[in-house]
Amino acid sequence: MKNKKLLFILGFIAQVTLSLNIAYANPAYFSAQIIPCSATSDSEIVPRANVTGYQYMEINGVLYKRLWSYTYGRWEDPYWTKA
Amino acid sequence: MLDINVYSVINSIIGACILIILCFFLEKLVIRGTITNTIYFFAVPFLLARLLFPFEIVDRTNFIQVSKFLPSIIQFFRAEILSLPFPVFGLHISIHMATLLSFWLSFISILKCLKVVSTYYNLYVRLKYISSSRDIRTLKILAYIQEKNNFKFSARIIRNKFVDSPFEFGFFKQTICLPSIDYSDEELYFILAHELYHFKSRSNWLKLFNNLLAAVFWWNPLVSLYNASVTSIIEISCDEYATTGFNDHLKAKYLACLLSELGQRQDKKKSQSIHFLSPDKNSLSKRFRFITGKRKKSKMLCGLSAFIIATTFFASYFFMVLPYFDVPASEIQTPEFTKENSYIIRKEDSYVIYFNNEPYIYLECFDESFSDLSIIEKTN
Repeated sequence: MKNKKLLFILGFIAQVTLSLNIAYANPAYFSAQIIPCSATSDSEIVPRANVTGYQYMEINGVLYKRLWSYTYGRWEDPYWTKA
Repeated sequence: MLDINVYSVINSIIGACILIILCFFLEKLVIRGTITNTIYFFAVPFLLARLLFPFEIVDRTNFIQVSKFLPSIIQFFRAEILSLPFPVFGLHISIHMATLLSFWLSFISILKCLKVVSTYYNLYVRLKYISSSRDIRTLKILAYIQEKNNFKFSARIIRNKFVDSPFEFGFFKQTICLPSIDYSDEELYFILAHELYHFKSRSNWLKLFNNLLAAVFWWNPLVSLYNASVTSIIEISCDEYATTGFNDHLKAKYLACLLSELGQRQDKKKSQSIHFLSPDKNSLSKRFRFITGKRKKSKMLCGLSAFIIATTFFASYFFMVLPYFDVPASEIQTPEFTKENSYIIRKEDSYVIYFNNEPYIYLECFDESFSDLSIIEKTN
């Protein structure tokens, strides 16, 4: 009985580990496009583990966008640009 | 493609911790005799690999973003403690909490590693000048065990009053240290068989590796517990070997011998005795449970355990825990551009609108809605 419990717990851990691949694939956040890789310019080295998304703002009737890093809490783009 | 970054290193430690937790479950199964200790030791190279290869598999990793606690912790470590007001060799130097913490952790780790190495070295020096025992009875039993098990290595035996309990030492040349106690033939057989198997299984190397691992990751309580767990399993594997073919009566005598050694160790003052990185006393209860239990190995459980270890190792490379910093509301609040707080810098055909002296908007062509702002021409 105790072996079965341990077997169950081991199997559960393996199941959780494997199912993470499915459950957390491409999480969707509102008004954000998740881009696994962030590249602000060709010459700039950007860390890979970086979930980014565009933020939008309307200024004088014109829509602008800017890339925000949800992982590092900073703007990846230096300016707002026209969307 | 592989990449190393701060979060991949953190996640390698998380992956190693998950493997360590699995090892705790495996330890219980080994003590019950349900799986072999080989399966437990099977996890060790995976644990080592997970720590030594803290890579991120780019475009294959799934991110688990944590919005509570983790962002606050990251912010805390990013906090700037000291910033030099002047550049040094053209570099602006600032010290953050993370820098301070990493220096402190590394410093303590180095000290602890040096302590481990110095303990080994001090013991080597103390034992070097003690002459080998010439007791014929002990040497006969030693030769008998070596011949019976076809051990092709030599071992020397030391008897000294400052040795509080039997232990073996040596990576290339084995030395068995015994206290100055008159053991019976049976007790000598138990002790020598156990200690010789330590050298045969090269468990000293594993002990050294684990002690160094515990020294480097001293700040992680799981690693210290893992170190104690591995030490117990090493002793259990030697006990299993030493008690092979024993009936219950002989097993009881073996356990009585273990108990008597524990009693002698407690009698002597620690500072006066030679001991070799005293193992966890709780391991004795585990050894008792193992020896007295019925060992019925389950091949299915052995295979499943090995499968789970390998799966967990590989799966840990396919997810990463990352903090989730939501964009502050102030950052996406539409600003009010006035002549006092904004201006435009024109460079060739492009325009950059500055707000509060920070670049804010980039325009490829001029927008009439910003005509109120002053334009500054910038040339190279």
